[in-house]
Amino acid sequence: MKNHKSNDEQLKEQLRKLPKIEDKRTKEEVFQQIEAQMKQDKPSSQKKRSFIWVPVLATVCAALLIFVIIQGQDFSRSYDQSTSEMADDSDMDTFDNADDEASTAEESREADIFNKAEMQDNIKEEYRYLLDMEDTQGASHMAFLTEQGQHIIPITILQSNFSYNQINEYIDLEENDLYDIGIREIQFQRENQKVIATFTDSFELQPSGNNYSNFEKVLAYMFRPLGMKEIQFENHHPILNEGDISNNLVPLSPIEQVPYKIYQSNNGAEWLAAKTDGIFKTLTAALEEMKIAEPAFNVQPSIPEDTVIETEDQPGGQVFVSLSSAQIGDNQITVQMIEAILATAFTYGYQEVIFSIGIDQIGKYDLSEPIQTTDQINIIQ
Amino acid sequence: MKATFEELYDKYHQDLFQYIFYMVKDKQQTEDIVQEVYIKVLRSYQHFKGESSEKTWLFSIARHVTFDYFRKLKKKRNKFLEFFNWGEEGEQLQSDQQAPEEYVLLDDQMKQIYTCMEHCSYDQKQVIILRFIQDFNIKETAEILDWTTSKVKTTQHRALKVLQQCMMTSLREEEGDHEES
Repeated sequence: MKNHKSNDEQLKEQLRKLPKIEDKRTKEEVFQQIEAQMKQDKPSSQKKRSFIWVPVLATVCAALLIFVIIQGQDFSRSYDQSTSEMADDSDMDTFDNADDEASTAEESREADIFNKAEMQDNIKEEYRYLLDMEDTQGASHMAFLTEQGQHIIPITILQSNFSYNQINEYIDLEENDLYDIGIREIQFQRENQKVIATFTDSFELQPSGNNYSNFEKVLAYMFRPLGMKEIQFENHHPILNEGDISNNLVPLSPIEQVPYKIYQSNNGAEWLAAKTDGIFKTLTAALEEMKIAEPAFNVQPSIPEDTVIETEDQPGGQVFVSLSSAQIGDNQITVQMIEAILATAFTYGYQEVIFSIGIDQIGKYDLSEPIQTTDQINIIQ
Repeated sequence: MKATFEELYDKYHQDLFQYIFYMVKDKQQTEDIVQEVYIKVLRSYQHFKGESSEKTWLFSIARHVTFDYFRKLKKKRNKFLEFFNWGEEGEQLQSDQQAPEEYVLLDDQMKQIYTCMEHCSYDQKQVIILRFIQDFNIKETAEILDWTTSKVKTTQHRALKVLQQCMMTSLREEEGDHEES
C-alpha cells in the first residue's frame, strides 16, 4: 500500500514537471485578433438574422396561398397533411438557424443539463436495495440466523414506533427461512444507553457453547448499532451459564471485520448475510472471501467470482475499491455487490468507499462520488 | 474593453493558454479557443458577480468553451465516420495534434506521461491538468468544474490510476522490445 502511495506522489511530481507551454504571441497581437473577431461577429449575425426571415416569409406566404386555394377548391386530406409537414420543416430550419447563433456557453450549459437528465433517466428503479444510508434515528435492529445457523441476517426496521415483539407484522420469518434464536421470547427495554432484558417463560434455548455464541452475536447485531455495549438481564436462564459473565450482564462484542454475502431463502428473497466465522484481518481479505459461494448454506457470493480486486486506504476514513469483472454492469448483481461492500467496509471502520468499477452510476448509487458506508442493513420499512 | 483585457492577460494569460493547450494538445487550436474565451469573458465581464474568484470564473468559462470545441469535433468526426462508414479505425481519429517543441525536449518518461494523459477520460484529464499542472487546490478545482470536492477527489484518484496503468503497460512493452532485440 505504501508503494502505491509513493507511486502516486512520484506521478504527481512528474505531472508538475510537465513543460510550461507559452503563448508566443504578444499581448497586442492577441488583442487585435480578439477585436477583429468581435467586429466580424456583429455584422455576420445581423446578416444571418436577415436570412432567417426568408424561410419564415416563404412559410407564411405558402400558408396564405394554401388557405386561399382551400377556400376555392376541394383538396384531399393527404395533400393538406403534406403541406403542413412542409411548413413544419421550414419552421425547423428557422429554428436550426436561430439555434446556430446561440452562444456556445449556453449550448454547453444545455449539454450539461441534457447529460444530467439523461443520467437520471438511466437510473433503474426496479432494483432491490438492501441498505439505507439515511441517518434514521428511530431505526431498530433485529438479527436472525440462516437455516443452518452459519450466518447472521441483521434486519433494520425503519419505524420509530416499532417494538421488538411486533416483528411478525413486518416479516414472515418462516417464509424467509430465517430462524429466531429466541429473541421474540425476551422483553427488551431501552433506557438511555442501557438495555434491560427479561426472559419470558416461553424462552427456550438449549444451553451450549455454540448456542451461546450465536445468542451473543444476535444481541450484538441488535444493540451494537445503537451504541449499546452490554445487556443487563433481570432474570436468569441457563444459557447465560455458557458465557463468561457475571450478574446476568452480557457484554456485546463489537461488530468488526465481517464480510457480507447473499443469503437466498426458498421464497426467492435475498438478504445480506454476515459471515461471522473465520478471521478476515483486512478489507481485501474480506472482499476475497465475498467471492466464495457456500451452496450448502444457500449462501451466494456477493462479489462475482472472477473479480479482480484492489483496495487502497485513503485519508479521511475513505477506502478506494477497484473491481473488474465481466459480470459487473447495469444489473442487480452489481447493486448487491456495491451494497455488500459498503456494509463490509463499515465493519472495518471506513466511512466512505470510492468505487472504481468502470461505470459511474448504478441504480441509485452515484459511483462518481465516494459512498457512505452503513450498518443499516436489510431494510424493512 | 482593452483595459479589462490587459488586466486579465497580465494576470492569467499564460495559465489559461497552458490549461487549454493540455486539453487539446494543439497550439493553433489553443489560440483559437483562448480567443473565444476572451470574447466571452469580455462580453460578460460586467455580469461577473465575484461569487467565485476571478481566476476560477475565467477557467470555468475556458472549460465550457473547450468542452464545446470537443463536442463540435465529435460531431464532425461522427459525420465523417458515417460518410465513410468506418469502424474502429475511424474511432481512433483525433484532432490534428502536433507535438509542441517543448515535448521534443522531454525525457522518455515524461513523454510517456504526456502521451498517457490521452488514456484518461475528458473529466479525468481536466482534473489532472487543473490540480497538478495548473496547481489549483481541490476547492478551486471543484469551483471551476462546478463539482463537489468529493467528486474532484474521486476523479483525481481514478485519473492517477489510469496514468499508473498506462505507464506500467508502456514500460512492459518497452522491456519486451528490448528483450526481442
